[in-house]
Amino acid sequence: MKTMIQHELKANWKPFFFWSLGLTVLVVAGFAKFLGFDASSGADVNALMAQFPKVFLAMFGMAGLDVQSLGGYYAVLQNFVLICTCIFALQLGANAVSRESIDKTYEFIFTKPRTRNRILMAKLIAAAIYLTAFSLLNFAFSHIALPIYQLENTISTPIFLFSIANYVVGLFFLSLSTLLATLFVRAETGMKAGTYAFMAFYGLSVVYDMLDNPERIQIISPMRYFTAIELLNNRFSFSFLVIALAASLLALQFAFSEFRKRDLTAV
Amino acid sequence: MNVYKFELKRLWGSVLTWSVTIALMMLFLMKGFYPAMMGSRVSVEKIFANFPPEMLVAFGMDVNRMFSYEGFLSFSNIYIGLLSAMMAVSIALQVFAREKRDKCTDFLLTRPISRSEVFWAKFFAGLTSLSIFGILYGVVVLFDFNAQNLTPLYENSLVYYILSPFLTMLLFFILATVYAVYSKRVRTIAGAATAFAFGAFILSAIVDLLEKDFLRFFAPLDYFNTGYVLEHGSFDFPLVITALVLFVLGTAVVFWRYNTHDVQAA
Repeated sequence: MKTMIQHELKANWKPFFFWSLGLTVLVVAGFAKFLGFDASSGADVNALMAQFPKVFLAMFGMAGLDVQSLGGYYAVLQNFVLICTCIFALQLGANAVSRESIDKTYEFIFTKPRTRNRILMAKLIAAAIYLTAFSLLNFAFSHIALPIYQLENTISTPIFLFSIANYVVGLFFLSLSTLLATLFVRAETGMKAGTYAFMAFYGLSVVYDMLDNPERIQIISPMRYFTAIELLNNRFSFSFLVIALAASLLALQFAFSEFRKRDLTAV
Repeated sequence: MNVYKFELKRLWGSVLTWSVTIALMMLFLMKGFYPAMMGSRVSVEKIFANFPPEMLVAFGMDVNRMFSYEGFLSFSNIYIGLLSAMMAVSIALQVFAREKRDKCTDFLLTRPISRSEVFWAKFFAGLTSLSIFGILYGVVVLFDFNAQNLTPLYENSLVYYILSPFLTMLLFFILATVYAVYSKRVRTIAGAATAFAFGAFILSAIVDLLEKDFLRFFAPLDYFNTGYVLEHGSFDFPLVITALVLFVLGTAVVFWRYNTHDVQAA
């Protein structure tokens, strides 16, 4: 088990490195613009923005968040981090299932005296380690970025909550793409299905931001299970945490039972 | 010619699914978003009425322009452009990483045609596929525009909105081709295309957020930004030149690489 996990970690090291590099740029450079704002003027803008219809705000890229406050600005950045987390998770999941098939090394690994379940488990643990590391880096960089720009850290609880929220949604996408990859024989089709799922969920998150009463679609919009406004008010939706984790476990359960009986072929 | 035909045959399904995806997206935006956007005009006008007119002018808040069909197109183009970029990357990788993925490069390159012939056949097969989409998109937008009996904001400016996704495609096609010929292997095309396009999407968003003028050269998804067209009536000229240079340079690099690279035996 340990050897397999180590091997997987080594094999997926490069994408992890590049995604983390992107994350660093995103979080650290992202704050550069915030310098110029004066925090005291935030309240007026907020009241003003509240008057506008949400469709209008979404059109001009300010979906109801006050970007003049540190928290609101951070929320905008974290929305992009969320996109990165989801795509990274998608690729980790699909890779865990299909990489050996694509590289035509599946005969080697699956003839070892270990069950398929164990092998997939080891691969998923390695994937989860990278996803966890990615989220930890997000948390760490957020804390490091603020002093770099001499900003006072007034949002340490929201930073923590945002990292957790992104992590949970990432776990959901990891499980989802694992399931999709096991459902299709061809790796390419599995990844395509994952991509479509992601685009649909991303689209739903955009629609969510535009609706005046978006709660109705929140249950089918995992990227909005934990809304910025909630997180900024130090609240964390426990029920959606349970839903996301339950959905992930269910997906994994199906993925494992599917993987056990699938026909292993190249590509 | 055989290579060209073969590639087109292989691409045809992909062009179809992508066109349908983007068409559905456009339909959703036209039928769902456009009415909602127009519906919000009254309340926005009411709020704007409380503002001093000079301030609105200073911030470029022109209600007529914002709530025009072009205003809608410039918004929808953010997402259409994203999907177009994805499609272009996916087509480029399919064309130029096909043999790498199937481990049959040696088969293709031992045929009695020169490498450069193979290259151009593939290159133009990709461009043909993109053009099919570009034409379809233009027809749909023009049709919808005429069906609603609208008058354009500026003369001929509709052309920019129609061309924008296609030109973005050309740029991403060449960028992805460079990636395809230099990478050791491409595991899944869908995965690479998503990472590529959303990477560019986030890059654009960050550049937008930072509001530094020179940074816009680092946001290839916005080289043919329609928001700029909405304000100025044409593309941002230095960016068009950059795109052109990148395209020509990219083509040259890929051509050179394709003609000289070592083929891994299967």
